[in-house]
Amino acid sequence: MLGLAIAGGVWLYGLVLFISADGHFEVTLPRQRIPPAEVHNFSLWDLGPTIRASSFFADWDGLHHPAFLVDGRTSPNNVEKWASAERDRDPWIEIIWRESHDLERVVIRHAGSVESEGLTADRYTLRCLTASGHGPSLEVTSNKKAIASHDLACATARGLRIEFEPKNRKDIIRIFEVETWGR
Amino acid sequence: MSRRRVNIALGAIVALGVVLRVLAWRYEPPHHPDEFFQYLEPAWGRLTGVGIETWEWRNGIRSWVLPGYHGAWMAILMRLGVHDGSTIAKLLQAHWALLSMSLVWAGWRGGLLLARQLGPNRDAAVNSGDESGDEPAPAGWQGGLVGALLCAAFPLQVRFSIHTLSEQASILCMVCALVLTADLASTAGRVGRGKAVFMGVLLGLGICLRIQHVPVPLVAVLWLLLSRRFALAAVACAASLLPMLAFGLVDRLTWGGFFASFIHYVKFNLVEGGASIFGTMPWTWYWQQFLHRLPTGLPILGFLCLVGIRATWPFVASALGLTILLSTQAHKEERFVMLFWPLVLIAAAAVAGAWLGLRVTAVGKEGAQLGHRRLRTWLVRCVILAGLAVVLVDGARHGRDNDFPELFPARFEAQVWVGRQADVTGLLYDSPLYTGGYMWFSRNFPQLKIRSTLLGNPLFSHVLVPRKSEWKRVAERAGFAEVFSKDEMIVLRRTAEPVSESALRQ
Repeated sequence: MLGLAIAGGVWLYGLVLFISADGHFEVTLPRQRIPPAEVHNFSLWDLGPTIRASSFFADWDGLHHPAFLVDGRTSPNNVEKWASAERDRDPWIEIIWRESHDLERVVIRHAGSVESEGLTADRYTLRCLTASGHGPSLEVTSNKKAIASHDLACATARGLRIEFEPKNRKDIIRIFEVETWGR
Repeated sequence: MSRRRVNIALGAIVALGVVLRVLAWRYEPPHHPDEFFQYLEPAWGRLTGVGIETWEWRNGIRSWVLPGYHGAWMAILMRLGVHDGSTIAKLLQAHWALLSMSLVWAGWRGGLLLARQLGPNRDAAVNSGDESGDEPAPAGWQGGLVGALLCAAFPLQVRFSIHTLSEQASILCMVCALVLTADLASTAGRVGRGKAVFMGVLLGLGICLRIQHVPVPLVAVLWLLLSRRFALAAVACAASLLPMLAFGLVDRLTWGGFFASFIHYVKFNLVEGGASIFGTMPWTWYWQQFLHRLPTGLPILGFLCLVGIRATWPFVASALGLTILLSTQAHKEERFVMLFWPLVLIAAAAVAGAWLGLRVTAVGKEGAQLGHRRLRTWLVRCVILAGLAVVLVDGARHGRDNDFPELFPARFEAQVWVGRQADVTGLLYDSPLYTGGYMWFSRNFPQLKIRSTLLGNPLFSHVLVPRKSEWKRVAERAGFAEVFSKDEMIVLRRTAEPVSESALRQ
């Protein structure tokens, strides 16, 4: 009986840990090359960024992984995009770089760049992440561009966070690529 | 026979059951994709943020109870520093194999109680014992030992014991509950209500885990009513509501409505027959499957069950009720009906045990006839033992393969190998359904069904395909080279810059 009680107690502790997990996604890609000195997209996959996301759409055939946000593909197919999960009411993504950069511009390749224009996200907020927390941010309220370029100056930035507002409760967010340009 | 000797025999059977389950744990191939994608992967996804989400989980047709149960153990193991998903999955399989040893108890207790009903001294609690003066064995011990042996060693059941499926969890609940019912229905005098509460909780849990197992609780309650245990039946029914309410509450918290997943599940599978999209079988399929698994042994089990039907009827009725209910459903899978086996094995064991326990003195006293009677009794015992041996050997001979022959263990091992490579950044494979999902991959990089366009994506560093597939050639043309092989499966690694899809077509 004592053994059962101990096992039950251990399991209950595990249950608390399980319930308290927030289930967000995070992956760090291995660095494949040193970043150049000139203006470049420092979120590219081979520079070894860390990608975090509130969720992703993870069907067997249609797995829209957050790493596709930084794969640098110029002609992706429909699968090679990040899509939030259907249950995700507050989708967000973060791209964290290995070192600080002076961010100048953010380019987002929305769903409309490959798929239907109606799937492009129109409301979102770009937040520059710095060592001390949040830096400058930019709120986009009515985006219509399939490939949207947003000026966002942020010195010694460590990353970028984008928070999306789905048009409808069950809508999922679809983004093919996020580019962060600067030095 | 003394109680001590029976205990030694029982201990040997338990040891045999453990050894066989260790072998199953080591060598048993995956049985069904659901054991990963329905009951492990959701928990893994919640803890790590990455997991394949099947349509059942998107549509809220599954309860979080079993993944939550697994998830709690996963969280503990991760806290202890075990982060490899395949290792955690193997530990969970070992845990289920260990829990399945409760069937050995059920076989012992159920076989003993039913054999006691069939034996010559049905009201005696114990035998007269042997000459040594040791404490005598309980009456019906022969049925108990045969039941324990069959539940410990029946090959198909041993194989199934490691799988992380809801059927497995429900089988353990249902069989133990029915044995407790036998206890409540057959024990003379006052019996504790605690046992009735436990039985009811097990029945409720079993129903929630697998609604198709509902014939067992119906028979159990009927058994108590026919035994005039009205108060105990009421207690058991009330207790069965506890796990049901817990399941309903979990659904409320996770899917937003009481019994939401349960209602969706019943509606899709049982009312709308939606599962038929996964294939349909004739109504006789389960019987064909039983005969396929036990062509010689099944008639033996059937004969034993019928001969002792006055005692075995609750087990036989439960097994038949389950099979009939499942036969009405167009979609059929062997795992659905696995509960049939322990029920029939225990029933048959009781009859076999009762016959093994026949005493020569009980059938003849005349000196001239005694030798003849003794010979006949031993002959009956030999036939019974031979029949039991046939059941086990027949089960072993026909116990291989399963509904999904495409579930190669080699594919799983190759997937685990890829996940352990330092340079992996993505995996393309030929068959997502027949892998262990993200839990076995244990890395957070993308893994997707292979297609030629994705070979050009630099994220995909590895390819896992059968050696003889066309994809091997396509991947090699795209700059991949073989780095690992396991039986028929190979792993290729990117060795050159990605090439365009148009170049691949040339």
